[in-house]
Amino acid sequence: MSQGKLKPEELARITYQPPAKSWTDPTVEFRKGVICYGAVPETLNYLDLPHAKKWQPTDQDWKLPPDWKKIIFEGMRDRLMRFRSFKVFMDICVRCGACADKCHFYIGSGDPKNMPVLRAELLRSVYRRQFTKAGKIMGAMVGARDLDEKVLKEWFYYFYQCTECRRCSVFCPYGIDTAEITMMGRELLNLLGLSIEWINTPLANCFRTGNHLGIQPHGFKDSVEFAVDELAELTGIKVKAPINEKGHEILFVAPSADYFAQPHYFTLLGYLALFHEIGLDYTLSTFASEGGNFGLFHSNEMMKRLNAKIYSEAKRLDVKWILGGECGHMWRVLHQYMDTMNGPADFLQVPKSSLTGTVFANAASTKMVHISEFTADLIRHNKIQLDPSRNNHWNATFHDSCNPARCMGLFDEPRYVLQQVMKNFHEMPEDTIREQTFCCGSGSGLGTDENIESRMRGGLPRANAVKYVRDTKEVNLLVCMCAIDKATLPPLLEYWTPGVEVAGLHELVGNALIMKGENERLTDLRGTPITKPLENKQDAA
Amino acid sequence: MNLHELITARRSAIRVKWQKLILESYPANARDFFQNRKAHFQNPVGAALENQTATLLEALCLGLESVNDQALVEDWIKIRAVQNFTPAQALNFIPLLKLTLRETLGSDIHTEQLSLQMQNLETRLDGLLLTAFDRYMVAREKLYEIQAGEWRRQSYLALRMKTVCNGETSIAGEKES
Amino acid sequence: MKFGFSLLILALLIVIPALGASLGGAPFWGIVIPYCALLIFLVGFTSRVLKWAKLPVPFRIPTSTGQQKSLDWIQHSPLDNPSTGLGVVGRMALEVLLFRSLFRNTKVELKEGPKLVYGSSKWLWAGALAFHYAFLIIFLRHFKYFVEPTPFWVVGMQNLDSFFQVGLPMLLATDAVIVAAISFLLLRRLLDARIRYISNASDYFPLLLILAIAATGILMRYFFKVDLVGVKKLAMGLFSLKPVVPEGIGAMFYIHMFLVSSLIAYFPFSKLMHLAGVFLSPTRNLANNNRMRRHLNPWNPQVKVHTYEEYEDEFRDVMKAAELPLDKEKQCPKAS
Repeated sequence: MSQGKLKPEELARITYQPPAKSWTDPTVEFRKGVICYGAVPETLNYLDLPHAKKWQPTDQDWKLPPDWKKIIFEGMRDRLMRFRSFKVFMDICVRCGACADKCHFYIGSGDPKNMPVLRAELLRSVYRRQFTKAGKIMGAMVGARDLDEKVLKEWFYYFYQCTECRRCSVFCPYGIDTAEITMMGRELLNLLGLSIEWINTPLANCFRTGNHLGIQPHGFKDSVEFAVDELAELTGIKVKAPINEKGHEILFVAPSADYFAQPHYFTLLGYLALFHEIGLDYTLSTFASEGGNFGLFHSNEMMKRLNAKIYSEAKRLDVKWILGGECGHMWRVLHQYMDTMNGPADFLQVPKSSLTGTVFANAASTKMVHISEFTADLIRHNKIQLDPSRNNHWNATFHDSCNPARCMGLFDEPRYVLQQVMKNFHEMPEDTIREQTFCCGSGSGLGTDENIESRMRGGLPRANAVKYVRDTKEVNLLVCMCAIDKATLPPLLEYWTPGVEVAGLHELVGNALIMKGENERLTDLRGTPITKPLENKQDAA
Repeated sequence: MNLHELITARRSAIRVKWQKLILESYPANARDFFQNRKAHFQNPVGAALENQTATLLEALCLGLESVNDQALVEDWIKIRAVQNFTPAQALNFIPLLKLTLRETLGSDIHTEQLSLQMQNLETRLDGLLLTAFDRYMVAREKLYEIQAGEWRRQSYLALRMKTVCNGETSIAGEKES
Repeated sequence: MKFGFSLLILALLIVIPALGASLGGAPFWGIVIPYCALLIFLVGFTSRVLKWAKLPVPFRIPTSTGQQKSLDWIQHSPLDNPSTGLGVVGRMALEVLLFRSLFRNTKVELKEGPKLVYGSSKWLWAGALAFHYAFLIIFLRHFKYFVEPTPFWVVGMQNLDSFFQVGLPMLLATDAVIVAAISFLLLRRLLDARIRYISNASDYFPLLLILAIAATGILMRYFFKVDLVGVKKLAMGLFSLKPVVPEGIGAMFYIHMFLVSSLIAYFPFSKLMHLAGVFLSPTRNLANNNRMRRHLNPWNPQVKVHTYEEYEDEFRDVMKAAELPLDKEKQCPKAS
């Protein structure tokens, strides 16, 4: 190209390249800032997973085994036999387009293959060619494709650009669930050792030490003691936090990030304060120190392998039932998979709150209760004293995390608790909350730093709704109940809507909780000074 | 008629054409989506485009020198900064406005006074481009800052745990090191 | 290109019977083809559904689109998030009869002010619903050809249908609706860049085919009159398995018949199977009673887990030093 000959309009105009005519063209570009690093061989080996290798998605050569196509086809056949969901979802899509603009990644990027229907077509095209008569006879007509290396790379690219949030499945007239498709796609890629580091390293850690961060038992205990000390400084009350002790009533399991990361940590302080105040008979466990389960983002077998410790630890510690902390994907596993995979939990009892006498019949089989259900019940029965004015410095909105929202329907319990522990609460617009909630853009193992651009645009719809309540209602706090949210929403908001902090529900419970014999609270659990209601009014006036 | 009045009169035509040019940087099927949907919360990119082109043209029409240039471009640049574009691609919406103005108003710029005003406006747009570049860099630096922040948090944790695990009591820790 | 291909196939499907019927062989076009098509449909449809139904549902994975059933005092959404079988029936009924999920398409606009305006974008829902119901009514209306005397409900339906008495013979509202609805769905596919991009030839084809079926039906009704007595004789013959071929029914009828036969023969191999598939979708047809009742996975795999014993063996010393309770004080020999 001869420089200087360009017309001004050519300089300025940049047309999208390449102008892909048909989605069947599988070319993708692996760009820094968008993709995640490949899994390292040590972690795969530790977990006995096949085809471990030193590898990056940006490499030309993916070091595939010579019979890789056969492995994929066998894997597909096997899964088509084992999952009705997979087979039915491969067969019945009519491409009506109802899902097309429901994906946060599509909304943020405009990349057509982020439309849920096309994400699924990436797999369907190969399915049709290999497993249907129509695809074999008249492939072009039904959108069938041969599997080749480019298609495989495209799978990797787009199945690690889906957060399995299930928003599209809400709008699909047949309930086709892209999360299910992505899970199958990832399982197939795993057969060739193609996974990402941010999923596999936590998996290996969790398998060995009981939590994703790889914290060993004494490190865990140290962290809990640290939190107990800090709570004593804030409230003047030294609480007990039993660890690995047998014979208590309840095993409490939270995502491990609550013990080590911020702002999760303040939620931990909230749990500890609450449990002390109501005299809950509970223990923590170093072995089951992780409620989260990255196996969900890997394969159903891996999910089961990691999840097994929860029931086995409950049995070993001889508790009556299990209480679960604030986490999104953890609750998908606990609610929809645990009992099926590792049950029946016949050695436990149907959960019953010893304080209110409420029997949690909705957890009669799984025997695990969500802490927001538990706390809502406590508040309803006036079992705790609250001073909501201690949260007056916050003006909050609530983010429904994808999994509790679309896999459980846990909407009103946290809202009830929130409205009892604080005064200033505003909902985001209707089409961005509850079952229509927008994902943080970093779920399903994508919450790492190397794909930051992808995360930012995936989280744009969520941040945009937050921006609206920030600008119109002066909201300065986004409350949520998910460890991944708590890790990934702060950077998201830092980029899109500075001035809004992120907190867990039980942090606010902890702030408002009046503890017997406590010192006057001068600060909240973060150490931020509390504005007295009276002063607050004067300030405002 | 001065230039501001001219732009005011043609505002909607300019805006339509300008938006169309900007949207050419997206895949064909996304253009419709970004353009047609007025649903603010289901289409933040389209909403930002709508909003930013409107306010920018408004500012130019009114000829307000005191308008905060950063605010004119901020939202749109933040979006472009995370959409797989090169810096040049991300910022091309300002040269595209110059192009649009020239193509739309070219035949009407016949008096010396108008062409002088046009030159001034183009200078203003050049200035805006530089401001936009600043904002783009701020956005990109923010991204790296966020990345670095995540690394720091991770290594802080690693360090804290190493301290615990390397204490006198830790055999596993010593074995590893 | 994809659209053109579909159009070409459709043209073939029209030309073949038009030429064929004019060359004679009425029993072939009037009896053999419909029976073959019906056979393909019945065998194909049943085997497809049985194949799906036989597959295991390893996990209970409903999509919850409303408040779960938990504490007594929290209002539960029994239809959007059913916890019982009855609720599931209700949810499926809403889904199948009213296209509940498509109806969810809400859209919120931010107007000057700024204030929010909640609207909805229900075009797809309305178009789809109109199409499916018009199709169903037309299908049922055809029973007047199969059964003698015409069932009262068909008469009633027809009276209702021709409520807007336009022209002679009466224009049936459903005829207008189905043509309008298909045209909408087709134009949407062709004109919306996003939908065009995701469409395969196999998406245009059924729409075109059904449009052609409707068109030939309408043509027969209003323009190329066919011998209705003959048609009824033929249809009743087919229906009662004593096929006869009356003379002189008219080529248009054979085209119509052939297109219908093509549709039902094509049905089991195409996306049209969504008719049955929707009932088998695990995100819709299961109750969200996951924690109330255990769901069984027939192939629940044996997996390698990390046991507490192994864990304690690895970390016993540090646990002891940290004064954490231990199950065994000493490491067992095999692990050392």
